[in-house]
Amino acid sequence: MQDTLRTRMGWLHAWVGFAAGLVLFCVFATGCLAMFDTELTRWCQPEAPPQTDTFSPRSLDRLLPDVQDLIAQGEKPFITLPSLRDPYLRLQHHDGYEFLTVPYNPQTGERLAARVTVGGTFFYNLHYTMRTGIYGETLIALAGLALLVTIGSGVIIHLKGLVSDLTLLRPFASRLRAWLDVHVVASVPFLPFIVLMAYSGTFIRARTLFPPVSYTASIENVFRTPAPSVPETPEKQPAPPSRPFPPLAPILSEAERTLGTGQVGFILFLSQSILVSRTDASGPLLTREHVDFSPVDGHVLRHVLLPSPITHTQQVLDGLHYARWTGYGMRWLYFLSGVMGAIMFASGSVIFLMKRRRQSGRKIMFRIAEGLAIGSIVGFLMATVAFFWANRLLPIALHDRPFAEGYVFLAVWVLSMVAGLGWSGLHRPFQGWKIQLFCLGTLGFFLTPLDLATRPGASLFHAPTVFAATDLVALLVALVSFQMARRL
Amino acid sequence: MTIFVCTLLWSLSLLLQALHEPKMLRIAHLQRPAFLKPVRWTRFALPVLALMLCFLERASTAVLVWAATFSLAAVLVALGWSALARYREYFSMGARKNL
Amino acid sequence: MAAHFITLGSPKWGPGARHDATIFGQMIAIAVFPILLLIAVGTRSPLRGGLIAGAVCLIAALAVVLSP
Repeated sequence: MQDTLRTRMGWLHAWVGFAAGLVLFCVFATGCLAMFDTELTRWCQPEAPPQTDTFSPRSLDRLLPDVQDLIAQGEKPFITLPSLRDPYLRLQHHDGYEFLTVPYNPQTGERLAARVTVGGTFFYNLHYTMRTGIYGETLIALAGLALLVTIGSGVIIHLKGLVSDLTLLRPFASRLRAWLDVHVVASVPFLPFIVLMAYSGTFIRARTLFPPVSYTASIENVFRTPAPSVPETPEKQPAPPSRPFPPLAPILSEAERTLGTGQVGFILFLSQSILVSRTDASGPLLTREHVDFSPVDGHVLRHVLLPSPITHTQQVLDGLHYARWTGYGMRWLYFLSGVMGAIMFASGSVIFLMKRRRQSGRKIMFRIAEGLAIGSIVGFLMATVAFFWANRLLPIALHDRPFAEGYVFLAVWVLSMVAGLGWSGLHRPFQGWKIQLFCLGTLGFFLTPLDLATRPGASLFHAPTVFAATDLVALLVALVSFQMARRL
Repeated sequence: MTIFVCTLLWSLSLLLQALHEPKMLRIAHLQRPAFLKPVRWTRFALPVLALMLCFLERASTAVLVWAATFSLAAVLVALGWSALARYREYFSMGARKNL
Repeated sequence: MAAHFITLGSPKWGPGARHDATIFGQMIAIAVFPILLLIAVGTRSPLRGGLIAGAVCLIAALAVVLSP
């Protein structure tokens, strides 16, 4: 073969793309779900009524005993105020893996009797750490760099047909042709989004790859101190009993005088101060501007806003990546773009395997690669749907319920990976793809009946949007899976 | 609403672009329509109009909404065109059988 | 390594306070990494690609060492 720029880039695109693609598929898929983390948490707590009363600042004080309990356990709790996306007051804290949330009535401050769940924040955390703390963050930041390399090489390969093939999709052509078209249609129109997400995502976690100290010092630090990836629970020192906090309503009103009415997003409780922070929904700049108050008498300590041009650029990148400023329309566009990013990696991996099957199909490395692809692509989606099944089927009184939900997810994923490797090892990879696609389809298809059966007060004629949208997306995934299993 | 209108404008623009591509016409078994020549600049004007709409709604996020609606429109046109190509293929095969 | 040296040197030549300059360095490093890799792999001879990437790395390293 002639050695041209295109062939060299083709080699780079294929190998870097496949190696990082399996991780990036999961990153894009979890990113899509994290777009609706609040809504998914609401799906996971069906006992909370869909409609609630209007917010009263006085209700905040009713949460203070629970805040103090968490502080006594060494946590850093915060209260998120009701918003367009979520009508409840929520008391949250990070358990070392995820943000756990408890809903409260926004008018009375009474705790709502909802099941304990890890909710949508499970996917948010999985998106950037893979539940392995700093090691996961580094791996995903590295995958982000690989994504930038893959995009660059992909654009160079496809430069000639970038405009003419923009909307060219031939699903009924030969298999390889069809997959290539899917790959191009899922990637070229979404290049602006994918580049933005790759760059801003890697930048947000840049500290892990490009620390401001030399690599030698960083590596020494890793071996000197235990990694912060380990859940912090055993290290947490119970705080001494704290004084009662001052009433929060005047604090909120004072903060609104600086931040603007309705611009407060959450209240964070630290030992030395109470931080009242601007809502992330206030605009595309994720400023995290906050007003700090004394936890003793509630007087203003300081107002923090970083105004330099570099910080502004950072805030824009953060804001565009987290997309918390968006309305529902834009949120769905982000979701769709993320889905297409995941499809881009799935189709890219399939093409990589198809092109090498004839020559290397019997080699052990190829079989491992295909097994991993089955587990990473179909297995991941299956584990995701299994997570929602676990949320509804696990006993409500189960001890450490959030962990159990996570374990179900991981167990299904590992099982799928092992099964994929098994089928591939037995030279029957298509069987592996088909069985897992069928399982995914079945789990997705029956999620709607499960939701209707386990949601209190559910009826076909009154399906609140959060539940209906989740069920419909699962149904769509199921139908696509069945169709793919049929056509394989 | 802006998202919907922008997607519509982008879809029209990409549809016109597809009608200008010989490859796209070939897979759908179509001839280049006669009305294309007088409206050939429209495909460039429509995205500009969409961008103006986005700016009018909210300047700080206009480019992002504009780019996102472009992506959505491209997928819609790709899916629509592939369905049309499939339909035309059946149609032309049926016509051939009748001959 | 070039990307690492850019981040490492950025507090010396970057704008504003140390924190801002480091962030600025990281922004550049993330953009430079894929570009350099594409250049290194994309050139006809691997030696030429390596030389270009090596030169950028050297300049970044010099900025770390020599900047006041």
